[in-house]
Amino acid sequence: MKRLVLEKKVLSENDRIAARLRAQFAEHGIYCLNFISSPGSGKTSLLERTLERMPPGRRVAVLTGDIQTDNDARRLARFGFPVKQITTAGACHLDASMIERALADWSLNDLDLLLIENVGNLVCPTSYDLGEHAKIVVLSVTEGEDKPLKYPATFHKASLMILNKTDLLPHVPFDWRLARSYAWEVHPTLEVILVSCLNGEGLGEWCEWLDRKCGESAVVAAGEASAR
Amino acid sequence: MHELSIAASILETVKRQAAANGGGRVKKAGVRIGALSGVDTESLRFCFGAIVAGTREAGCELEIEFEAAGEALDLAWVDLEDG
Ligand SMILES: Nc1nc2c(ncn2[C@@H]2O[C@H](COP(=O)(O)OP(=O)(O)OP(=O)(O)O)[C@@H](O)[C@H]2O)c(=O)[nH]1
Ligand SMILES: [Mg+2]
Repeated sequence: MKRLVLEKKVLSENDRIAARLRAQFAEHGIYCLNFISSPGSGKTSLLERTLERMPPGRRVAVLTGDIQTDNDARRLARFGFPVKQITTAGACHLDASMIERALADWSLNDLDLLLIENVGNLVCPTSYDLGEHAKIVVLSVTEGEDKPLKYPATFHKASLMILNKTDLLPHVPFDWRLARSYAWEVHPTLEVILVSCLNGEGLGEWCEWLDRKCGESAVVAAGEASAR
Repeated sequence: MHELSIAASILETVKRQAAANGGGRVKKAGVRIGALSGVDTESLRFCFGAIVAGTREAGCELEIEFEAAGEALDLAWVDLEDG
């Protein structure tokens, strides 16, 4: 018997493809976000409200993952931006190779922003790097305050938590400050924005966040281009 | 449940390493899993057992080292039978 020391990341193959995607995004000045939540927290609704408010001239595209159906892609296609459904046929998450395949027939030169809606699942998608600049976790007020403690990995890896469905706060016993403090227990510097995709509350703040990130990423891309 | 695809990735690496190192059977694989990895150790063990059954690696055990902090999801080592 001999022991072979490997010390390899289990998902090193996925990480390798994600690194390749990240390099392509950098080369083309694309800012990419990966939206993760439980089923029904409002990822597609948030993307609909976001596309509706897209500043003129920003070239955005959306990939949306689901186990079955192209319902989400059909909802999102109404806004006139390129949208593609990735149907995972059973898999509970998107992985980097699915993103690479989906992007193969799009010209990356024509994009500034890529929004990826992951499969509705608060656990599995977290492990798979898609080459994104940031993960955004969406939590809705009907899910209970303790979700960040029960599913810490996603909240730990996200840069921003969108707390959605605030219009329902008067009707459900949900203490959003408590939910936020649980999220901060797992991830002390997690940014938090409260929104309602139904009545529009907080969407201005969210769009400002997105504008700021797109702006920062464009500055970095310009810097890299001039360095080349 | 993505533990199945994690288990498949582990098995693939285990097989490749065994083949590249004399072709002996793998008796045990050492895996390190952090509390923030998003992977459930029990379902990983279950899935791994299910996918190795009936293959050449049948009986290969997972030795899981759980870390209370961090996002580790690593294949640390394998024990190879002399081939
Ligand atoms: N009251 C209220 N309902 C909302 C809000 N946002 C979304 N919903 C509703 O919540 C349900 C699920 O919304 P989706 O946007 O489809 O959620 P999702 O996260 O994309 O779902 P999956 O892709 O299936 O995981 C729909 O019935 C939405 O109308 C909100 O801010 N307030
Ligand atoms: Mg959706």
